[in-house]
Amino acid sequence: MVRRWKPVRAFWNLLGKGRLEREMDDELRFHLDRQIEANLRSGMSQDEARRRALLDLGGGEQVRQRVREARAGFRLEALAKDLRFGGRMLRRHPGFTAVAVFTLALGIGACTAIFTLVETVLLRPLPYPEPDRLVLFLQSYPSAGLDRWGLSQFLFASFRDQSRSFERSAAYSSTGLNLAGREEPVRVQGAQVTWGYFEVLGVRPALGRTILPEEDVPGGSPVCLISDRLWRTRYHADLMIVGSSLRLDDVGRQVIGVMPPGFAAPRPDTDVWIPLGLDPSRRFGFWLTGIARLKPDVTVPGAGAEVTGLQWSLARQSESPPEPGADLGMLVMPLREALVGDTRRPLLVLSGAVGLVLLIACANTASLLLGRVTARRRELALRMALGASPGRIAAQLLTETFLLAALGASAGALVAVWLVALLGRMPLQGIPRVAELQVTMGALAFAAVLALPASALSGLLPALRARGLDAGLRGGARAGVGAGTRRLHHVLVGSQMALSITLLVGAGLLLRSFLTLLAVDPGFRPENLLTLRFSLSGERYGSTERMTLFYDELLRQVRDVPGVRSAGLISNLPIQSDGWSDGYAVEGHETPGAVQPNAMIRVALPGYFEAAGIPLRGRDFGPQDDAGAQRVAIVDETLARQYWPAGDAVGGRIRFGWDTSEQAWMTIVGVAGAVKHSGLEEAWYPHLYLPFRQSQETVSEMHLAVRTEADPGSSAAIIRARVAGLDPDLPLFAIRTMPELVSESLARQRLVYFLLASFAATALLMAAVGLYGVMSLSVSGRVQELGVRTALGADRGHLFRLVVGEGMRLAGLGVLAGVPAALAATRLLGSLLYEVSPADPLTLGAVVVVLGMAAFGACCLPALRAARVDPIVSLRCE
Amino acid sequence: MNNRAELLQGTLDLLVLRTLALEPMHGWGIGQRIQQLSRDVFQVNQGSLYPALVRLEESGWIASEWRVTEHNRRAKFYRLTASGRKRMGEQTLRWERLAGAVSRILQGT
Repeated sequence: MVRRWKPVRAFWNLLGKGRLEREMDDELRFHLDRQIEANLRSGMSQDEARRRALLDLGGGEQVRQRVREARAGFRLEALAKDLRFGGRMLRRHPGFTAVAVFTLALGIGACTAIFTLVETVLLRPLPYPEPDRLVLFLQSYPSAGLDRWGLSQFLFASFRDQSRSFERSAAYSSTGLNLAGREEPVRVQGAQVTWGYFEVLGVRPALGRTILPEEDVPGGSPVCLISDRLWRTRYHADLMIVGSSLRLDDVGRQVIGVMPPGFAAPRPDTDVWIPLGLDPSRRFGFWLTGIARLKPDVTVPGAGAEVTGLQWSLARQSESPPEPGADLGMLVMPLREALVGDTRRPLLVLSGAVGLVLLIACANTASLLLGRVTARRRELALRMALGASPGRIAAQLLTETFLLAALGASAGALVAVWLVALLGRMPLQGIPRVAELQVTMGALAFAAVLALPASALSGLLPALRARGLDAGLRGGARAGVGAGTRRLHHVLVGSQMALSITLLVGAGLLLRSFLTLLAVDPGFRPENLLTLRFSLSGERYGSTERMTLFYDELLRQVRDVPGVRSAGLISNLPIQSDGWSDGYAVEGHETPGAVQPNAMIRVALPGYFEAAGIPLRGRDFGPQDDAGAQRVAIVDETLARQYWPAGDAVGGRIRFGWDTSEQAWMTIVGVAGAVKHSGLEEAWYPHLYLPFRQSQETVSEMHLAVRTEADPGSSAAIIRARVAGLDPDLPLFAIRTMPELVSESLARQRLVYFLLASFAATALLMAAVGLYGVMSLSVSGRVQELGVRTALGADRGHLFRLVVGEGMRLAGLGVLAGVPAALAATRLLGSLLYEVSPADPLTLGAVVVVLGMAAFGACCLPALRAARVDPIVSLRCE
Repeated sequence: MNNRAELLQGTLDLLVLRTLALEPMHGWGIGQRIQQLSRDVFQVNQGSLYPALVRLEESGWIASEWRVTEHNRRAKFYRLTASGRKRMGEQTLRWERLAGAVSRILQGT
């Protein structure tokens, strides 16, 4: 009874296949014998009786095949047979197999690599429990030029105590710290955090404990937590580290905990966490970022509305309340969104591009397979004559394609691993979470799954074509290509061309914006400029006077180094997009209320502008601009043009911050050229420079800018030695040349451009190979015709033009179809383009020319072959 | 099939079952019997008969065994099973309903 169940029967039939076949033969032979006897009885001759009986049986092999197909398990058996046969076919045509597998591997591999990138950056949940409830919160005041504005300690404390939306909240600020101790001093990335920071995220230290509320008060006990990375690299995973003491910025701090591996907050490179020492009475200084875990039933917009309400009620009680209706508000955003930032669009563009590459790869493979089907039409027709149903033939071809796709997917997984490793080595500072990048099982599964649509896309058309082949035998020995098949070939090649155009135009537009960006004048001269950062801390440098002494001596020594032309010190370098901005007011243009225009505030020592190569009108700061003298400032062209269009800014007065007293006014002594403070594509931002000797804010971190005669790298060692001679405990870090920094600021653009350009090049190559294949096939199918033409006197140039003309017509049709698609697709690039229109005619023209050249190249070989056809040989082929 | 009627799709199974209801028979005999009973209206194509026999046997409606014929030849004999008899009843009823409906329509005009 069990044998009646179909899968069981299928299995049973497969096992007893030999017996079933023998019985079938016996049964049919018996049938034949009886039919012959019957025919004899009806009076036929022996031969006639036999002939009629065979005829009645209707072709023994066809009946056998139909009986086999009726058996349970036939499909399974057929699949196994097809797989074996397919494997044999692929082995017998290694060239075809290699090209097809390589093409699919490129397509699937590229898709998998980009999927890995997208999965890591956009899809993978943050490594915290219930990450969807985590939000960042900041202030926002767009009309004051403050799209994102930090919280004051007072504000944060108020939100923490009063918000009903937050289950828990904390605040933090990233900061660099000098770490001294057992080994050479280093600069580490640190974060000042309030107590509860780790609890908001839901992460416990691997060793020790987190910060206690009583440690997070002004003057609280000096403690710190360190990262797993720092613990392993610097302290050799010493289990006794908890309880020992580190010197951070010249303060001894007791280590209370070590965070688990992979904990990367608030920045991927944070190595040390120290208590913020929250002072809720401080209403100014908006330098904190809030982080909170929402209560389970609270939505992000709900939380935003609630804290904005709180913010307004606090602001109305302040000394300078905002005007009613001002766009002051709270920005509450999901932590993941804040991390992903503006990488979403480039990643989506890349996903689309890589999908096109896979499509082209499939079209290419389909083209190849179609060629194979045409070459095998006699074999296939023979199989059909022997009783294989068209469905069986199609199934067999699809099985072969699937084998190809499976091989392609396996090779593609390798390609993906390699590509991801390549990505991992690229400078990817601009891309969040990229440190977590690795090929996961999920990505490999993705590659495996891609094999299915890939084989369906590339195998279906050829398989359908094969069904119409039963006329093949009757068609005789001619190995020509049917009109239907040729049309299909043309459609495939045309669509490859059309898809490639889209990618090429995208890559071309990105290249143009990239070149435009490189040509942007940053406002200073980056070449031959060496920069390094350091930070004075501790008792040794406890006052502005002591710092000034050190700085003056440092500059004197560095300027002394052979090959150094000039040197200067500044609180923040251009391009690096860090630094401090604040509201300012120009005398005669003061705005009432709290809304003030914002400028980047920079603190400089004399000589900086010359060293950086920033043009300066008026005078530089000098030693005379000290604390006792009249307060002075330098503004940049962006700011000056706004208030002094006539160019007479020198002599004007400006102030910044919250101090509105008479002493706050500074006299402008110079106007510096505008510089790009963050990326090259950013708009000009007003700058306000203050002399270090007069700056009341403590500026602990300084950047040394050194202009050298030749390659700045060669002076780095001497300069480092000079600084060590002044203070051996002072860590110098980020010793970089300015061109490197500029180049790094373009990392994201370069990555997107590089990937898209690679995809476009791959697509172009595949399309060219596809065109070459189709033209070769067409020429071999027309050898006779070409031979006849030669025999009738056509010259070789004519034949060459004939074939090239056909190929170029094909490419032309592809271009015609591709251009509108490309124009529609490039609109998605949108903000990725810099001063280039998505419909840039120059790019479009260049792409058409490149594609035309590639198409011409692809047609040349077959055309040459056509021109060399020997009429005798071609006619003898018959 | 020249001037003989083609078998209606799906009726072959029913005819085979009916034939076997009389006595166990081998494939050739089944074909002959159908031809006789239909007074030569149906001629059974071997290319349809043998796959149908496999299908019916796999569904458990008929069973087969090798036996020796009266002429001392080995042949595969098929016989109706109990579930095959039930199936035949159902299919006959269905067919009669269908045929009745069709002829009512044809006569009604």
